[in-house]
Amino acid sequence: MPSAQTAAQTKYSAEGVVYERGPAEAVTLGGPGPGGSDPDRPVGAGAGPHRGLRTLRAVTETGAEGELPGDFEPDMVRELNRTATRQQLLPQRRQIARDRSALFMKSQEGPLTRREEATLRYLEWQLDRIEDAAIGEGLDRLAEMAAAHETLAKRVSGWLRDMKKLVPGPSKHKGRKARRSSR
Amino acid sequence: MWLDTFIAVPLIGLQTAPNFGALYKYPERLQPLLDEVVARDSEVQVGVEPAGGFQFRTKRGFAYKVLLDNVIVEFTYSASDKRLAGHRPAIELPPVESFGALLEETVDQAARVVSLLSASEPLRVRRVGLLASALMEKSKAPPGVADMIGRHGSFFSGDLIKAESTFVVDLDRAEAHTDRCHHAYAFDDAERPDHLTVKLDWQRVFRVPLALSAPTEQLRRMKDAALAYFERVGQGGLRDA
Repeated sequence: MPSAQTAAQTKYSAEGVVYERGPAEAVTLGGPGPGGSDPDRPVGAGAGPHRGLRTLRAVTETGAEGELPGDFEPDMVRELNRTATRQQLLPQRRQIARDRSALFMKSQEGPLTRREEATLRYLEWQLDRIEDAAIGEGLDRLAEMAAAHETLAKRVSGWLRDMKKLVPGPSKHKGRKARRSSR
Repeated sequence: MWLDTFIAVPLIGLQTAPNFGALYKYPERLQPLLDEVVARDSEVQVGVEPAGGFQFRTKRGFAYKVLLDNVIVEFTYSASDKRLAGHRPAIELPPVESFGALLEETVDQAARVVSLLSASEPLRVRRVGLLASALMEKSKAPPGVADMIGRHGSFFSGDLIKAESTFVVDLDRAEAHTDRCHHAYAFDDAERPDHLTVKLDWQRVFRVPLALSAPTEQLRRMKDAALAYFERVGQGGLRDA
C-alpha cells in the first residue's frame, strides 16, 4: 500500500511554524556496519557524533497528507464506486428524477439562477451515476464482447485474404481420368 | 452527499502544542482503547516512532497516531488476496462503506482518543483538520470538481494530461479562528487514464489554542461545517452562493 506519509517525512509544527522531520541515519548495533566486522576497530569508530538524530526544519503551510483510500487499480475503483453509488443513490432515484424534472420545467418558463443551474447539473450528474451503476457493468461487458467480435472479424477476413492468395499447384496424385488416358 | 458515491476515506487530525512530557504517557493513557481492540479483533498492529510517538491500526482499517504535536485518526481500506485451490490468486475487494458513516465513526474515535489523552487536563489544539480522500474516474467527477480542474487547465492551449495540484483557500475569518481548505487533485492520463485522486482538507485554525473540554460536540460541529463545504465543492458554483 503506498503511504503518502512515512516516518521519515512526518511534518510537525510548533508555535505557529511547521516543521518537517528529516530521515534518520541508519544506526547499526552489533551488525556488519562500519567497522562492525573488524575486531581491531575501536568501539564507536565510524559512527558520527550525532547518529540517529533527526532534523527539525521549518516548512511552509501544510495540510494533512493522509493515506489514499487504498491501493486500487482503476478497474477496481470503477467497481467499488459503482457499488457505492448503488448503495447510496439508487434508493433515491425517483426523488432525484422528480427534483431534476421540476428544475427543468422551471428552466423552460424562465432563466434559472446560477445556483439553480448548478443544482440542475448536479442532479443530472447523479442520474448519470445511477444509470452507470445500474447498467454500466453490463454495458462494459457488451463493449468487451463487441471488441472481441471485431478482433475475430479482422482475423477471419485476414485469414480469408491470405487463403485467396494461395495458388494451387499441380497435384502429385493423378485422378481417374488422367490414369485412363495414360493407359 | 457526493463523497458517499465514491470510495472515499476520512482523516481527522488535531494539531497540539508540542508536549514532550506527555508524549511518553500517551501509550499508557490509550491502554483502554487498545484493550478493547485486542479483545474485539484478537490482533492489532502497533508501532513506536523513534523520535517519540505511538501508532496502532485495527484489523478493520482505523489507524491512530499520537505524535509530538499531532493526534490523528484515519480509516483506510485494504484489498486482500483470495486464494482458492485450482484458481489463480485474485484480489478480494473490501465491502464499501459510505464516507459519511466512516466520518461519523472517525469523529467518535477521535473524541474518544482526545478524552483518554486529556486525563489530567484538556488537550489544547491549535488546528483541527478533516480530510476526505477519494478515488474516482476523471470522467465521472462531480460537476464542481470537474469545473475546478477544467478552469485550471484552461490556462493552457493544449489538453491537460497530467496534474498534481493543491490550492489553499481561506473560507472564513472569525475572531477566534480561521477556516480554510486545501483542495488537492492528481491525475496522469498517460500512466493511468481516467484515474483521479481528490483530497479536500478542511481546517479550523485557532488564534489561541482551544481546550477540547467536550470533544464529541466540538468535533461534531466542525465535522458538519466541513461536510457542508465539501458538498458545495462537489456541486459547484461556489462563487454563486
